[in-house]
Amino acid sequence: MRALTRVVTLAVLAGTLGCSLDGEPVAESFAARTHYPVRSKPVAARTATPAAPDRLKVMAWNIKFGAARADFWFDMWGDLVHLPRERVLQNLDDIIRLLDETRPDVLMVEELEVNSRRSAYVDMAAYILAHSHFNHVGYVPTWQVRYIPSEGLGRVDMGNAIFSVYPITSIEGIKLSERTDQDYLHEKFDLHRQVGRAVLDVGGRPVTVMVVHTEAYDTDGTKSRQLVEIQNLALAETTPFVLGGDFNAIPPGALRFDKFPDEHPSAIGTDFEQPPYRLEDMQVFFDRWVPWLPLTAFGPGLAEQRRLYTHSVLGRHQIGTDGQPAFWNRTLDYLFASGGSWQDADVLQEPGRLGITSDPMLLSDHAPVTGTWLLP
Amino acid sequence: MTGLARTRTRIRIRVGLLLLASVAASAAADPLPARDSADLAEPGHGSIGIVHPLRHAVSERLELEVYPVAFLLAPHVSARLVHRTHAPWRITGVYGLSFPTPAMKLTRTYLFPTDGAPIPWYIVPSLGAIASHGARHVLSLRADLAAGLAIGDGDPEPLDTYAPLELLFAPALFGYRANLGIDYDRALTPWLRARASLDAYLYGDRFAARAAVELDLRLSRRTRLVAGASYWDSDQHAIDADFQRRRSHDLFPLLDVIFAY
Repeated sequence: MRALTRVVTLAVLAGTLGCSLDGEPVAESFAARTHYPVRSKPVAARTATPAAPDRLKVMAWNIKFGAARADFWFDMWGDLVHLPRERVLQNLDDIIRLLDETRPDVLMVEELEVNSRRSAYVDMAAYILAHSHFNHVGYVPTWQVRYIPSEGLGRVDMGNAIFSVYPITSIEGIKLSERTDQDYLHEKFDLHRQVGRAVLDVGGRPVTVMVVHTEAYDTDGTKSRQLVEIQNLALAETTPFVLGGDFNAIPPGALRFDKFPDEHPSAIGTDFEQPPYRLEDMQVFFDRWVPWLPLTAFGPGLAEQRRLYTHSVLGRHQIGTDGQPAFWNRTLDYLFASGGSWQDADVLQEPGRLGITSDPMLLSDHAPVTGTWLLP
Repeated sequence: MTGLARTRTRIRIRVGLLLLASVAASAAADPLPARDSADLAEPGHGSIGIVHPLRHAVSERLELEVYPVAFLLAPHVSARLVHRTHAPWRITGVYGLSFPTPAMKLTRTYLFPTDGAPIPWYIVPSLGAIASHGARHVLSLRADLAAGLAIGDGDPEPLDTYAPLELLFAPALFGYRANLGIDYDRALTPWLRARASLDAYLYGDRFAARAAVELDLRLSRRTRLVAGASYWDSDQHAIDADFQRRRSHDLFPLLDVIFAY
């Protein structure tokens, strides 16, 4: 904590001694609602779509800024700060290969970067758009800092994105509550969570897509507040919607809720120590909306729950603190729809699930969650 | 107005008059000279500022220059050697040597990764010249080239940050830094000077430009206050609304007090 304070202080000094004439802030904190541009493929290069679709294949995936299983310093299992461009592009190609196998109509991505030093300034939204079957993308930043002098991290531009084969009519960021357990400087330079909300034109019918990524390391209940805010956003929707992403919350009834074997002992006491999960955080989502997998699928035993875990800091070839080879160890990622029903829903944990040959365990620290939503 | 308020007003007026008298007296004694030109101080004399370097004239032809605070982090020295003293152009060569590695190692965890690639030992020789024209109003042309010679393993990445900081480490991180500059230092009154500067920097495959305006105000016979602003145009990997890379434009304040001895 002390080191981070010093770092952030330095960043503020660097920024406030001068001022940008082109309007770029030292660190962006975002307005309550901000509209962002939609990028589209040239018409000739677009994937054809059905005229009147009655279903959408949906996927949500936290792609860990294209770092795959690289062990970054903040995970405490490695010391990486930057990835070379070739490696980032290779990782993105592997992600795109899985997308080619599954061909979702809508992809909600978290931790996508468009201009960060640690991911070689690769514009991942543009790269995935250009090399996948998607026709449109909207990007909603959640972390835009001009320079972070912490471990040479430098410039960061990370956020959530929505890819779609159907036209994106609009996309906006809706700001969530800020943490209250940080000092001013930490709060200023840390992530500022936004829900990415896009309206798609699905065969002439408006459909809303919301991608979320809530707090991970708060100790003041911010994540729970953000989840309530997301519920309120969903309740206010008047069009059919699908809501998905990395909720950083475990499901009600989770049998494993602490002592995760991928938490490095040296993370204890730092900004990156995993705070306790609240089992009730996700209950309302399961109660009010249509989950891609019902709660009954998460039980009754550990074996069933294990099949739906979506997150592990450690990759397949690493050994956790329990002395066992690492595997997904908790569910943090979900999909919910306003109505209708789901088919072919699953967590793509490993080759063979829904027929994939890619190994998601090698592609990110989160597994993709996917399903076909039969529109209401 | 109360008695206390009247007393305060009188004190303020007296302090103001004293300051004015001080400036006027010092101005009458000696007009404020131009700074950072090809001209050297008298032997045994020199100047030092909070930001400006310590310059000490060893002889009529040689001045030594160091930045005292920075010296502790990155030992360095420059020799300013007079090559031509006659009008219309006076020419001084500037020959320097610096070792930025201690500063780079000390700023690990902040600017450089703690456990990242090793930082080699760098020797940065530099070579430059200043040509100045005029006595009261001084026009100076500057050029210098600094090269970073690495000894040992390691190839730390550029910082991609604010131009003044990037340029500080540029010879080590980009291999070299070249600078061309021009200054015009004009006496407005015996106690006030205005100064305008333009600089162009080339480092690696990047380019930065700087424009600065400053006012030098004599505070006493030996002290001047420098205030101004510098504008920087540089590449810091920023992008525009269309996600295209663009250049950054920054304004920095300049403030210093320089003491001449």
